[in-house]
Amino acid sequence: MISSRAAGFWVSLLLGGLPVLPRTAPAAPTPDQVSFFETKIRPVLAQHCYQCHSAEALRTGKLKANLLVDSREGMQKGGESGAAVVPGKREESLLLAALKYDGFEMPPAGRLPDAVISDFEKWIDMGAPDPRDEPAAKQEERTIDVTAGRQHWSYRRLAPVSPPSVKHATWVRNDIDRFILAKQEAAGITPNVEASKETLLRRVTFDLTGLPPAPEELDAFLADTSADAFDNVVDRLLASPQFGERWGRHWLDAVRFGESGGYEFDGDRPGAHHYRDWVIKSLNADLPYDQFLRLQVAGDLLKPGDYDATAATGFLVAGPYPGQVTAKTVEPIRYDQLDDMAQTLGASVLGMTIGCARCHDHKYDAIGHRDYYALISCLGKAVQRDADIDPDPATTKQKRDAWLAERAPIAAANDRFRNEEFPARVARWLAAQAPAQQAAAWLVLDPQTVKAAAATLKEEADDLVVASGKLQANETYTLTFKTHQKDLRGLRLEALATGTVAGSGPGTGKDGGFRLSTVKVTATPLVTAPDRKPITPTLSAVAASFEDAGSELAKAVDADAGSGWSTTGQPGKNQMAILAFDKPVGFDGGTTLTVELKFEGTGHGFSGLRVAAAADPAAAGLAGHSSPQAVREVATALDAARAASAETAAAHAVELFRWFSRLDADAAASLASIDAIDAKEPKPNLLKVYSATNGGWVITGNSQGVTSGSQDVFVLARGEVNRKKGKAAAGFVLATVAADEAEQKMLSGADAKPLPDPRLGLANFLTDVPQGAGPLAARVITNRLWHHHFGRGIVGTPNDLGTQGDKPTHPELLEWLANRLVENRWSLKSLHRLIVTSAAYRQAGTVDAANRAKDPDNALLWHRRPLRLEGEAIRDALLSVSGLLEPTMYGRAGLDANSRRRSIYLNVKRSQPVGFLQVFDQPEPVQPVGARGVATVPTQALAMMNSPLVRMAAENLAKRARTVLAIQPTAAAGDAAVVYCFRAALSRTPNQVEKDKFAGLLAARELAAGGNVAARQAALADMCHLILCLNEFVYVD
Amino acid sequence: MNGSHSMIGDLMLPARRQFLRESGLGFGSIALATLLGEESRANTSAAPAPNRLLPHHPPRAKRVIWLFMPGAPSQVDTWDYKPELQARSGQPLPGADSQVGFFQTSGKCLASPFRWAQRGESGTWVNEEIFPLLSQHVDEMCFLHSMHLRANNHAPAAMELMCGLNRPGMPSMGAWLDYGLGSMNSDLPSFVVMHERKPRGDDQIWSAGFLPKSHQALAIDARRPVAIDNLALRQGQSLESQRAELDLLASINGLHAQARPTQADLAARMSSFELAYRMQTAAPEALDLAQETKATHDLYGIEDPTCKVFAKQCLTARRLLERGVRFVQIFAGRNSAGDGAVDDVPWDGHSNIETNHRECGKATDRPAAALLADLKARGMLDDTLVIWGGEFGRTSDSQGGKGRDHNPQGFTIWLAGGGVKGGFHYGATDPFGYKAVENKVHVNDLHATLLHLLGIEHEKLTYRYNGRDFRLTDVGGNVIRDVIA
Repeated sequence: MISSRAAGFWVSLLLGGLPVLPRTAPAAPTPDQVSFFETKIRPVLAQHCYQCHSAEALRTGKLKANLLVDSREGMQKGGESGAAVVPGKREESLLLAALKYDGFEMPPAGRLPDAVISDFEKWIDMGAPDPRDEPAAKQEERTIDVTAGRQHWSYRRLAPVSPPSVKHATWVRNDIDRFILAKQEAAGITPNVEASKETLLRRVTFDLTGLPPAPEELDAFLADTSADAFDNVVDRLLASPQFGERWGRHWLDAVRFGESGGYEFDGDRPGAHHYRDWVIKSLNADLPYDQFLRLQVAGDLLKPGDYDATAATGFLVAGPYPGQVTAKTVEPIRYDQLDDMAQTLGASVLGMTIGCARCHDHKYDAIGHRDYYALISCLGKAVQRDADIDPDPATTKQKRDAWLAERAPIAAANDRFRNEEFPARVARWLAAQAPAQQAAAWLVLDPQTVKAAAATLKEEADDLVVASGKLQANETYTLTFKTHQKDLRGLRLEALATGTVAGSGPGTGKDGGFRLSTVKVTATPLVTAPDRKPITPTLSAVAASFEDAGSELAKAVDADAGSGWSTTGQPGKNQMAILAFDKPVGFDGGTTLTVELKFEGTGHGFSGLRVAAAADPAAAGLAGHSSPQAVREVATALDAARAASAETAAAHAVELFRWFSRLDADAAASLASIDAIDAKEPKPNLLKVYSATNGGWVITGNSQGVTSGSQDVFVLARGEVNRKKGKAAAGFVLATVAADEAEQKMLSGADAKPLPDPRLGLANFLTDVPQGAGPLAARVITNRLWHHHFGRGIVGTPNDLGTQGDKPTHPELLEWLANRLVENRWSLKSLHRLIVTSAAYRQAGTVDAANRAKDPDNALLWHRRPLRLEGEAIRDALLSVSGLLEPTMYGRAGLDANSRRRSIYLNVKRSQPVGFLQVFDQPEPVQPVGARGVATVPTQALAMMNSPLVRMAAENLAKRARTVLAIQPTAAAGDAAVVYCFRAALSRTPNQVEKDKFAGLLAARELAAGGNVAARQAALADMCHLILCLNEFVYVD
Repeated sequence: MNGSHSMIGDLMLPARRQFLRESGLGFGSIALATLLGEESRANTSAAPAPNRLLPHHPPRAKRVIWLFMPGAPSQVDTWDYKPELQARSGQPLPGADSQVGFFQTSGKCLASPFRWAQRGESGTWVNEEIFPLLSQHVDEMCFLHSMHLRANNHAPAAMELMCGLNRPGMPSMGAWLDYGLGSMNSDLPSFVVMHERKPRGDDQIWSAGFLPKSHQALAIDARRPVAIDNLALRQGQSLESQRAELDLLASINGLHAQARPTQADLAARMSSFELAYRMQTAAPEALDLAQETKATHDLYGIEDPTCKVFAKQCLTARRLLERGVRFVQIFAGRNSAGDGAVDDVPWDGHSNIETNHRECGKATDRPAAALLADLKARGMLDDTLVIWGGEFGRTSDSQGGKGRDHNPQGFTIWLAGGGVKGGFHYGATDPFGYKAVENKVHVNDLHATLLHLLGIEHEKLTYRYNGRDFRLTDVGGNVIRDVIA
C-alpha cells in the first residue's frame, strides 16, 4: 500500500524529472562485489520486492508502479516515479528512500531492519554492482502516439472553413451546395434539377416526421406558388410533434434503447420509456445538442430530482443486464455493464469503437487501454434504479399552496379552540369525573389499527372488534393501540360471540370454537429517545373463564406454536383470559402497543374481540371494573403534560386533545375538521423513472443473497476481472482532448478543485469544444443528420469516424456544418433546416448517363436515390394513409403490431421483437446502430400480402375513399377511387397506365361481386392493398 | 445506404454479388441469382466459377442439425463416465473450486445415480438408463469431452455457445453459415430454429446480430398452430386471384424500377414477392408430417405423449434438411419432473439430477435416436452433421444433496455424421469430470471445426461492423483435426 504521502512523492518525482541515466552497462563487478550482492542484496529483493516488482509479477498482472527490480536494467530504469537505483548516489536512489520509509514506504508489510538498509547504502556507495545482465522483462508499453492521434481528421479541433467558389452559381441555394457543386464540377459532373413538388413534399415529410404528407397538405403545397412555399413546409414539419418521434427513433437506434433486461427472464423495465419520452420531447424543443448530451451522462447530478434530467440518464443504463446475479457473477457483470455504457457512449456520441480498448490499446485508433479504463472510471458509480420523480413540481406546488390556503382558516379555528376553549372544558370535565371511574382496574383499549391475514376486522362501538368476511383457520389478528399509561403489567382478552359468524361464537369456527396459539405484545415508544427501545414482554397465563382440557390458556403463551387455548366445551359463551407481562410496559411520552394473536394449525380466530390493560392484572381479576381508555388517558396526559419537558409536553398536548375529543363533541368536531383537510393534502404524482444514479451495484432478480459490490474501477489486464492492475483514475480519451493538461481541467470545477463526481467531468469532456471532444461530438451528430437525410452519411459509417471507418466524401462540408452547429448554439433544428433547404437535398432522382458513368456510387450526390423506409415508418405510413393512426404521444403502446399508435411507442422487449418491424430490419436493441441494414426478404412480401395489419390498412383506406368521395355502398368505386387512393398512399396522381390497370382490376372484381356489397367493398380494399404493396409505397424518391 | 461492408476471404465482392448478399435476398438468393443470369453460387456440383470464394475447400458436411439441450445436461450423468466419482460419493471433491458453479455447492462428490454400461464396438460408457436408444448409436458419435466456455448462467452461455460471445448482439452460427454459404433452396429459409417454450436467452441465441436481417433464423414455435407468420392467404384470397394481383404489381413495379436504375433493391423486392408466393405452398408442404409413413411416425415416437413434441420437431427437421435447409436447431428436452426445473431450461437439475435427467431422457432419447437412424437409412448422415449438447455441464459435487449446479469448465458435446470420426472420444475432464484438462475444446475451437467441416476457413469468414472485422470465432479458434474422419 502506498500512503498518500508516498503517492505525492511519486508524483513530485514524476513531474520534477530526474537526471537521465546512462543505460550503458557498467564495468563488470568484482567477485567481492558480486558476493556482497548475492548475500546481502539479492535475497532481500527476492523476499520482499519480487512479489510486486518482477517479471513474474508482470506476467501474473501483479506488477506495481511498472517497477521491475529483478534485473539491473529494471532497477536503474525504474518505474513510474523514476530510477530505483542510481549507482553511487544514495540521495537519488528512490529504492533507498522507500526502504527508509522516507516519502513512501516499502516494503509495505513493515520497515526492514536498519542493518539491511545500511547494506543497501553500502551497495549503492560502491556503485550498485549488479551481475544480473539479463534484460528487464518487457512491459506492455503504451504504443499509442497521442500527439499523432490528435491529428486524425475527426479528433482535431474545429477549424474554420470557407465555402468554395463554384461556376454554376445559380444552382446554389445555400452554402452546402457550394461544397457539393465544387466537387461535382471538379469531376465534370452536373447537378440535377429540382424534384417535382409532389416528390419533394413526400421526401421532406418522411424525412422530418416519418409519415407521408396528408392529401390536404399536398393540395396546399401544390397551390402555394410563393417563393418560400417549401421553406414554410420545412418550418411546419420541424415544429410538428412528429418530428421528435421520427428523429427520436434514429437516436434510439444509436443508443441501443430497450425496455427490458435481455438475458434470463428478460425482465421488463416499465419506467424505461421515460427516457424515450424525454428524447422525443427534447428534440421537439430543440434542446441544444450539448445540453442533450450533458443531461444524458449526468442529468441526475446536474439537476437532482428533476424529471427531465433524471429521465435523460436512462441513456447510460438502457443496455441489457442479466436477470440473475450471484456472488460469483456480480463482478464480471458489472464490468460488462460499464463496457456497455462506454461502447454506447463511444459509438453514439463520439463515433468511436472504444470497446476495442477493453483488453489492449486500440489496434488502429489512438485509443489507449488506459483511456478505456479512465472513461469507465468516470462512470464507475453510475447504476440503474427506478427513481420516484414528480414530473411536474410546479403544479404540485400550486396545488399545495392552494391547499395550504384552504387549510389556514381551519387550522386557525382549531388552534383557537385548543387555546381558548379546551383548557376550561378539560377542567370542567375533570371536576365532574367520578373518582371510581378514574380508578377502574381495567382500561379498555381503543384500537388504532386492526388487521387480519384473511378475515375482515372492523371496529364497532365500545372498542369491540368484529371479524367477518373470509373466516378460515390459520389466522393472525394484529391490533395496535396507543396509551400514555405506564407500568402496565398485563392484558385481558375478551372473546365474544357476535352473531356475525356462521357458528355460535365466540370463535369463527363452525362449532363456534377458536384456538389461540400464540400471543405477542410489542411496546414501541411514541416519542423516540436513545434510552427508549421497543420491548416485547414475555407473557404468562393468569386466568381464563374456561379452558378445554389439554388446551389451557398456558398453551397460548408456550413455545409450541401449534398448541393453543380453546373453549369448545362452552360454545356460544363469551370468554375471557388474562395474560401477565414479565416487566412493566409504558414509555415516557406514550407507547404504541402491538398485539398479535395467532390462531394456527386448525385453529380459528375470535368472532369478537376486546382488549383491556391493567397495572395489576391478577388483582383486577376477570370481572374487574372497566373504564373506557379515553377517560384515563386524558387524566394521564394532563398530568404528564404538566410534568414533562417542552418537547414531550407538546406531544402530550396533541394526544390529550385527541383523547378528549372522544369525550367532547365540540373537540371532536374541531379535530374532524382539521383531519378532513389534512386528508386532502395533495401528493405529488410520483413516477418510477428508470434512470442512472450513483449508488451500490444493482443486484436484480435472483440475487442469491448478494446485495452489493465495490464500486472501485480497476484497470483489467486483457479485460479480465481477475487480472486487476490497480485502480483506474478518471479521465478521457487523450487523443480527443486538446492537450494532456486539459483532461484534469475538465475534471475540475472553476475553483480548480476536482468535481464532486467525474461523471460531471465526462459531461464537460463530451461537449467542450476548445478542450474536449466537442468537435468530434459535433462532427458525429452532423454526420448522423446527413446520413438520415441522404441515406448515406458524409462518412458512410456513422458510428465510426476513426481510422477504420469510411473516409468522408466531403470533409470540408462536414467541418463547415459542424462549425455551423456549434455556432448556432448546438441547435439541431437549424442544422436540419440548412440541410433540407439545400439544392443538393432537393434534387430529382433522374439519372444522367454521363454522371452515372463518372460516379456510379453517387458519392458526389448528383441525383437522389430512392430510399427504403424503415419498418417503423412503413408501419406508421400504413396507419397514416388509412386514417387509423392514433396520434397520442409518449408512454408505452404494448407489443401488438396492430396497435394504432406510432411504432416508436411499441414496447422494446428484447426477447420479443415485434415481428412486422423485425422483418423490416429493425436492429437488435443491444448494440448502438448508426446505419441500419436494408435487406429484402420474402417474409417482408408475405407480411405485405397476408398480414392482418396491411389488410386492415387497405380496408380502411378503401372505406376512407368511399366516405370522402361519397360513394354509395352499392355503387362501383371507379376511377375517382383509384386516384384518391393513389394520392393518399403515394402523394401523387396516377398516370394513365396506372389508372387503367388499377381501375381494370377494380372493375373486374366489382363486376364479379355483383350485388354482394361486402364483396364490392372488398374489391376496393384489394385495389388499395395492392397499392400498399407497390415498391413506391416503401421507397421514397 | 448500408453502413456495413462484407468481406469474404480477402476480396471485396463484386458489386452485384454484394447486392445479392446484402441488399438482396436471403433465403431466395439462388432464385434471384438465376433470375439475374448468374451462376448458382451454392450449387456445389457446378464447376468453380472464377470469383467463387466459398466454400474455401470441399465441405464434408452440407447441413447441420443441432439438438440443443437447454438447461445443461450433466456430463457425469450422460456421456462422461467417471469411476472415481462413483467410488467417492459424499467425500470431499479434490480440487473443488469456489469459483465454479452459479449458486453454492457442497464441495462433496455426488456419484451418478444411474446405471452405466459399455456400448458399441467402441465400448463407449453411457448412461443406458436415460439413453436406452441413443446408446445404440455410440459408434456414430464423436464425443468432445473437454468442452469449456466462460459464462456460467443459461442465457449468456447459450449466446456464447451459439454466437461465440457471452453477450447479446453477435450473429449466431446459423446466421454466419447463411451469410457465408447462402441458401441451398429457393423456397425455404436456410436457417430454422424450433422450440416450444423459448430457451432462456430467447431470440438472442439465434440472432443474426449485426448481419443483415436476411440471415435471420425462422423460428417455429411448437405451441403455435401456425408455424410461419403470414403464410396463409387472407380470407377471400385464392392463389389465382393473388397471381393476378402479383402480375399487376410486377408490371407497375417494373415501370417504377426502370425509371430508377441506380436502386438495385427495387428488382430484389419484385422477386421477393414471387418467392413469397411460392413459399406459401412450399413451406406448408415441407412441414406436413402427414406425408410420412406410419412406420416413420412410430420410429420417432410421434404418438408417444412423453416425447411427441421433440419427435415432431426432429421429423420436421429431417424434412427441412431434405429440402435444402442448411441449419436446423431444436431446443428440446421439455420435462415434467417437477424438481424445480422449468420448461425453458429443462435439463437444469439443481435439486435432483436423477429425476430431472430421467424425465429429460424420456422426452428426447427416442426422437434423437430415430433421427440418427433415419438420416443414416436415407444416406444423409454422411453429409449431415448432427450435434447434441447443452450450454454447459454440471458440477461433480452436489448442490442441496441430490442436485448439481452449473459448470462451464468441462462438459461433453457429441457430433455425428458429416465427416467426423464415429465412436471416437476427444479430450477429457479430470478423474471426477469436474474440469476439462486434456485437449481442451473452447467454443471458438468447436466453431472453427464445424465451419471447417462445412468448407469454411473460420478466419476468412468475416463481417465488418462498427469498425472491426468480426468472426464467429472472435480472435481464437483452432480446428480440431483429430476428430475429422
